[in-house]
Amino acid sequence: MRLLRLMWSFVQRDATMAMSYRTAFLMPLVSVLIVVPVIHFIGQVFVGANTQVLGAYSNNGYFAFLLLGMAFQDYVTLSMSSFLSSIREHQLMGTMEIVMLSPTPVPQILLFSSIWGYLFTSLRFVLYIVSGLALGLDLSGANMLSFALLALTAIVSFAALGILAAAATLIIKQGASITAFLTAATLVLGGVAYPLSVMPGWLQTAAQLLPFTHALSGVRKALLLGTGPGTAGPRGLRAGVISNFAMDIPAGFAPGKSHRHPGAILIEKGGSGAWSGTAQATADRSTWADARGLPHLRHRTRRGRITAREPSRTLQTYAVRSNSHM
Amino acid sequence: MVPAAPAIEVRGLSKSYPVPRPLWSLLRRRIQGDSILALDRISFSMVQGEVLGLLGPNGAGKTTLINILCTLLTPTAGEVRVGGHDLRTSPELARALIGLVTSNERSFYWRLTGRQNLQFFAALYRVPEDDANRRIADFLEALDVADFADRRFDSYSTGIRQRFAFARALMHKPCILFMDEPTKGLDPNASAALLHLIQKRILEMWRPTIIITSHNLTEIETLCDRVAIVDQGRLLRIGTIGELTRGIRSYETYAVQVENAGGEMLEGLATLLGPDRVRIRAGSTSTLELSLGEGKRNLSSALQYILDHGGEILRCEPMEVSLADVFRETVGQRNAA
Repeated sequence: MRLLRLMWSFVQRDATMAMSYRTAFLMPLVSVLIVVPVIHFIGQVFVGANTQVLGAYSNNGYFAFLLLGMAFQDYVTLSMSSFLSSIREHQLMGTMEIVMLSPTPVPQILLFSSIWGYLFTSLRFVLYIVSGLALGLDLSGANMLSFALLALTAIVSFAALGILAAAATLIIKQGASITAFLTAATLVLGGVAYPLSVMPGWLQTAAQLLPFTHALSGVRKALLLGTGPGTAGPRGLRAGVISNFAMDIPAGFAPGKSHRHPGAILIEKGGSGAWSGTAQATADRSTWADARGLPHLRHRTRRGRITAREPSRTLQTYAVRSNSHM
Repeated sequence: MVPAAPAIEVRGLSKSYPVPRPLWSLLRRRIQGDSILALDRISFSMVQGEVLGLLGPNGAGKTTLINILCTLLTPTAGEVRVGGHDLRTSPELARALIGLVTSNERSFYWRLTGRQNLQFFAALYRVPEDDANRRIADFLEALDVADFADRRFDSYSTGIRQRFAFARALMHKPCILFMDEPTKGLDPNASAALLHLIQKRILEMWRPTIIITSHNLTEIETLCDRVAIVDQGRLLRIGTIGELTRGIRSYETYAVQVENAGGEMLEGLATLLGPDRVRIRAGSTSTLELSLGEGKRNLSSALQYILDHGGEILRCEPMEVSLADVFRETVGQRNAA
């Protein structure tokens, strides 16, 4: 009860202050209403063009691809910056000492100070989606539960980075440079405006190191393809939305384990010691290019020759095999 | 509950800050850089309900000391106990006992009203919800700011803001209060009003342990039981004002206004009292300042000597040693040394 009251006090404080700056409060919302049509018109440029490069999302079109990328990047960028801006604002306003002197633990102060930011950015995200729907975005097959779980996991994950940046702010004062770098990195490498497959291999490798890449991929799958955590049983769950993001990096570095990537490729070590797997995506070259970009897969392919890439019975699946121990 | 005594105990407290260095120098020199000693082995203690004035020139280390006692800074060396709690091991317990009044007007949220600010800080300082609104109303009334409570904070005058700072500091009923230049920036009337309020509404009613820093020596003389003088991070003197004045001057001084005081008379007085005990007051040709080691008897002899040598005494009054004299002499001695 005390925590709820405290949390509410922070939200009330931040909301009152934010709304007291009327223009600063409204402009970020208005800007969404301006940006979404721009995205729509950019999407129109590619209507009728070969959108196979979008892989699994080629049916949804570039508008949906870019809109979700930008909206989610906005959301996740805030996760990193909200803690930092909270510390920085207190430093600049002069309230830092009095707030830190209180018996309320610092983690609670940081956490509750960021809630308003999340609420406001959620409002922006909803505006993105609603405006998108008005301009033809199709989310009829979306799995909202999957999206909610992923978004929550992504925010918690990125909040950790944000807390590190906030801690740095206390010492170096200008922690914004850290989040600016991470934001730029997500924009360039995260697959916001273009699929990873269009980048050179080494950039694709770098992209895999960003949790954002995996999170955005999962969000797109949840909202555009309807991928859900419980749709295919335990294995589906592993290869699905959550595992794509939360378990991908640790799994990628664990020898002798399954390896996944955002293109939903599953490579497993068989009983004979050979590697095999399936690429559950549109059967085109871009999927294969995407697979080659994976650090672990590339590593494997360097030492072991891939012997077969055959379409399976379903058009959406490739079989990938290697004859060596990797 | 705070143990009976001492309320604050400081032993061998030192604080040093690293000197910021250019980035390139990190590549050429050792990582460990130079440091500035802000506090140097400070020791003192305070009993519950005592009011200690902290004096010192700018940059002496007063605010650093208060920030350490408030748990906002960690000491480099030494031991500090506030309300019996060691600040190294249990700062959170000490924090619950502490209130801080700063002169920083920006320590409030200016876009909120005074009441909204107090409500927020009440939650932050864990004032029970049922109690918070009643306490806020009481403090607004006691500090004569009830009429301003629902206006935005940025519309307040400095004096009103400072009163809200007191309300905030007292809201969780701390038994130890730190005031860092509470009347800074106030005009004389507002300053006097606030001083009165501190005396009547805080000292007499609550009797908390207080450490106050100020450059206004009248405030310190009015409020404090003891005074500590700090300079260049060192505690130079601490004691009651009487102890401090006796400490810097073991003799009494009288101002004697004399008509017809000639050079011969002055030489005779210097022979009688001592060469450095007689001087003509600056800016006056007829007022002598006589420093007497033995009190009244010596005064009678000196006055009789003046009368015997043709002088006419128009006025004679003792010169009190003020806190300002103590401060000047203490800090001046230190700087001269």
